[in-house]
Amino acid sequence: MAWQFNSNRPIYQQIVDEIELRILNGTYEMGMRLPSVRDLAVLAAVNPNTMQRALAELEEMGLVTTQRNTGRTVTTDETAVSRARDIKADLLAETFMMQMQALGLSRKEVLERLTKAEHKEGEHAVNS
Amino acid sequence: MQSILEARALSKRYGNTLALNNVDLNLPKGKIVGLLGPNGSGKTTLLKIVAGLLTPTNGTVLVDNQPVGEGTKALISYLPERTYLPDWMTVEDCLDYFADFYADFDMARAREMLSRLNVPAGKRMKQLSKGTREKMQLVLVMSRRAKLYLLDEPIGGVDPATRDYILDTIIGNYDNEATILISTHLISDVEKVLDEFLFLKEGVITMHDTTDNVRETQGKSLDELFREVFRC
Amino acid sequence: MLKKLLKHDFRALSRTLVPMQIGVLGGGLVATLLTALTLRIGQNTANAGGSALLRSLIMGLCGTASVLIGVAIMASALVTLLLICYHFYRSFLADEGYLTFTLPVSTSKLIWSKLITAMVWTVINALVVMVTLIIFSVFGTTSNGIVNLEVLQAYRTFFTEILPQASQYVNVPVMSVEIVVIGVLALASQLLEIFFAIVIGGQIAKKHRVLAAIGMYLLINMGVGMISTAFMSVVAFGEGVSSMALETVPEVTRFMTSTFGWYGVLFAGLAVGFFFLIRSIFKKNLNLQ
Repeated sequence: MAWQFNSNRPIYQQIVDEIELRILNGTYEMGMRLPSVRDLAVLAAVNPNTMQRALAELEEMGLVTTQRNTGRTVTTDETAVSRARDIKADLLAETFMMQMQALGLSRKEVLERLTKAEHKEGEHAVNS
Repeated sequence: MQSILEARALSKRYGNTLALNNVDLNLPKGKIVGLLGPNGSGKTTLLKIVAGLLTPTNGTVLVDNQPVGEGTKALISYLPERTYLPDWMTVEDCLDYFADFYADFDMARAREMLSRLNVPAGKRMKQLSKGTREKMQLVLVMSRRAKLYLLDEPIGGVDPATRDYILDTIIGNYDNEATILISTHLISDVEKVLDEFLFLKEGVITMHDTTDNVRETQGKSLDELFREVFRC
Repeated sequence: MLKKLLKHDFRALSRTLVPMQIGVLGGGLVATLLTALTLRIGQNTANAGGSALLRSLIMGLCGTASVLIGVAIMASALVTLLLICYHFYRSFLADEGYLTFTLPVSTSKLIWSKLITAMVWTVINALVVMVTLIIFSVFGTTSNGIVNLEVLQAYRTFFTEILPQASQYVNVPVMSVEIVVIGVLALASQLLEIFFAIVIGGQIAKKHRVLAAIGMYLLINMGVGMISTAFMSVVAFGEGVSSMALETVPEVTRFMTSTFGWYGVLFAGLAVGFFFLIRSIFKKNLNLQ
């Protein structure tokens, strides 16, 4: 299944986001060897040059490393991963708060809603 | 950046119509480039001139710094928008033909792709369906290690599964030294595989940019831009 | 690359032409058998009674069949030529042209390959027809025994008497070579003339290209006829050959050698001319639809 992309951002940025997410949530485990650029490009149904650019960006972020013999692997550096996770989470939280404030909700109301949502999700998990 | 295809003041006239009007073009090595425009905008004409099947009315074309001829034909792998393999040829005959004439033909790769397509080697072209024949041509063309691929409407008029097969084949065989020029009017399907694009409108190139740049600066996809530019 | 072109051109043409030559040979054998049968029945009619109607019916059928087969064998030359032309047309002017003209091969080699295959197949066809006719003349023309001894004797006479006699006047080996060379040149110029007509027909017409090609051929042929006549008369006058008495042996020999030579020059010139005309159209004016 080809990856889904939206139309208003460059595709390589969206690939960076997607692979970053997979590394942060453990789909791509630490130290795991990544498929070749060509295979990844076929998987995502994108231009190999675009995939190459995305991987270079991930390398710069410290999430992916290149070894001469084994190709590209997910980093084993836990601090790099947790730092990336922090940045991502902070960004999401910030965006979330901004949107909630735009709706006119107070800090307290936001927290209440979060607890409620968490509760609901827990029930959902038990049921399924 | 080194250029693989260069056109200067290129024009082609058929009777009273100008199919190409003073086209200047420079394509770098190692890119997948979309030649985008509605039907009748001159896409096929441009590709046929580069392939050496049409004589331009004016202007020059250089492929890897050589004028179009015997030498450039060895560098170009061209997929026309029609079926051109003779009816009586078997799949094996076709492979033999390409292997004989093109030093860059990778027989092992071609066989592997054909086996995935489930095309038996003894079948004659006339026994294959039109769709299978077109896939067969794509396999032959993409099995070459050419410097410049010219693909004329490779995904026009095919079902979504075939379209995915074709794009997979193109991506899976691409090596980043080569340049692929794909003509199509189905932008949304190829957008993800394009580094650069050309908009061709009534024989004139109206835009030449990178896909990333369109998204970064205009915040819209190529498909959206195309619809705006070519709105009737 | 020429070798590879030849390989694929022969492969394409052999597909239809090999079965056809076998058909000619097979048809020839059948006609030989039927004619021999007819002759025998005819002789029996003269000798014995029986149903005369049935006999004449069989004779009539056999006779008609052999005549039809004979006509088909002669027509095979035309069919061979048509198939060669069709192959040329398809390779260069139809969709297959997309394949042919994107090959990394020089235009000259493309034309050479077509010319050589065409010539080889014309000669093969001529040889097959000749062999078939010889078989017919030896086995299918007698009602006494299997072989027609008179015909066999006539063939023998050609080698034992006519050739030695001819060699008193001309140098037979040299003359044979001359005939072969001129034959080859004539064939080449004729085929290239037809190819040129096909190419021009394809250039000027979008729809009725075959018709256009035939029309062009008639036109070109007229032109070639005029050029040939003009050339030969000028040359012959120049050599003073036309005013020769042709009474003595050396005079006849000189006349023949000179005429042969000039025909050779004419055919060679025409062949080279058509070759370069086709080449220049393919190189400078190719517009594949």
